[in-house]
Amino acid sequence: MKHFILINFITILFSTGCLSAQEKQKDTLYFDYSENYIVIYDVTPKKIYILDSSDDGTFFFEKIDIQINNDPKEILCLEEYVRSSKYYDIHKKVKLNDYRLAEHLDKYTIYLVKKTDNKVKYIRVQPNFEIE
Amino acid sequence: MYPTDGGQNQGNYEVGCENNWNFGGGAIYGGEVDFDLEIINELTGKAKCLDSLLTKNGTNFVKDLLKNFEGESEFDIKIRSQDKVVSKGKEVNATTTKPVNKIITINISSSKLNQHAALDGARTILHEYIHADIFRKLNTKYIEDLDFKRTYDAYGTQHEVMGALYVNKMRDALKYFHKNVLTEDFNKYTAYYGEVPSDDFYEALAWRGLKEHNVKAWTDLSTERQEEINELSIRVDVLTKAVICSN
Repeated sequence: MKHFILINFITILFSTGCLSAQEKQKDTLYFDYSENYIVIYDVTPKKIYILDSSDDGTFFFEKIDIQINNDPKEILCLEEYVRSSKYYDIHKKVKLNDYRLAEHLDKYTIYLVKKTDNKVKYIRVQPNFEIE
Repeated sequence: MYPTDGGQNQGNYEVGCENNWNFGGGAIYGGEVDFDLEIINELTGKAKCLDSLLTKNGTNFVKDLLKNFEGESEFDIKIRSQDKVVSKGKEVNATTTKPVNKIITINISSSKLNQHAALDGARTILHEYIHADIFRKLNTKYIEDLDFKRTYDAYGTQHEVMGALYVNKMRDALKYFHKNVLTEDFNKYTAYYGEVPSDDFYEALAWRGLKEHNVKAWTDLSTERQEEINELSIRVDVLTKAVICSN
């Protein structure tokens, strides 16, 4: 019984370690907070939609927190990133595969970089997908 | 509502069934958990009452609906009430979001649910459970011939999958629920219309939340059939809004 408990304990420790390692391995993407492409509704200020978010199943970012100090090597254009991805097809009636985009971006830690006056805010967001 | 609706006012419900909220397990995240289905329940009021009735007396409609695709899953479902649920700036009945930290979240709008017939409210909850189940299955590994991802990709969107695969299940579940659980309402319908509700009536109810998205299974129906369903769908609005949860 003691052995069983010990093995379970080691297994849990090992699993937790693996999970932490996986989480640490997430790369970070920084996107420019483009007000021309980002859509926020007054009633849901923590939800950040994009212009290409579909109606029947919708991609959005959920605000997590805001950081002031960060050191991005590169800031990407969100619109270009989405529209050049395999999840976007301009020839289709529903151009964006919102769910697949959310799944893809979920592999990264994501910041939206917003410049206001002399400050730069790094908004950490969680990619998500909602359906009615 | 029916003219005979008596003292059951719009949005009324009794929550005296709180003692029946026993899913056989303890509470985590401040909610109640059905360990078998891995459901974290944070519903309140009418939604809580309807959800409880859906799983009442061992007859589990949710399980019946969700057993379309079997498979182990590491995901939980969290279902909760919110005063209003808003998607893309528009108030909606409910939403379901993809797994985040292995939890699929269903948000049920209390204000919308209170405006709707009890049976329609049950439909909303079942509809969202199906979404949750689809999310769960999209993230679960299956043996080759049960690969749900392939099925999903063939249809393209969740509502397309539901239109093609779930409408009949939904129809049957709602029919059983109406007759056996919302029996008083079932009897009122029968007295009011002079006939028992037909299968088509329940199918019309099941199409709600799907036909608005013009899913292929809907557009494939003939115009006559669509009109028939739309006509029957109107009857849903005269059903009783109140739902009674008693001990």
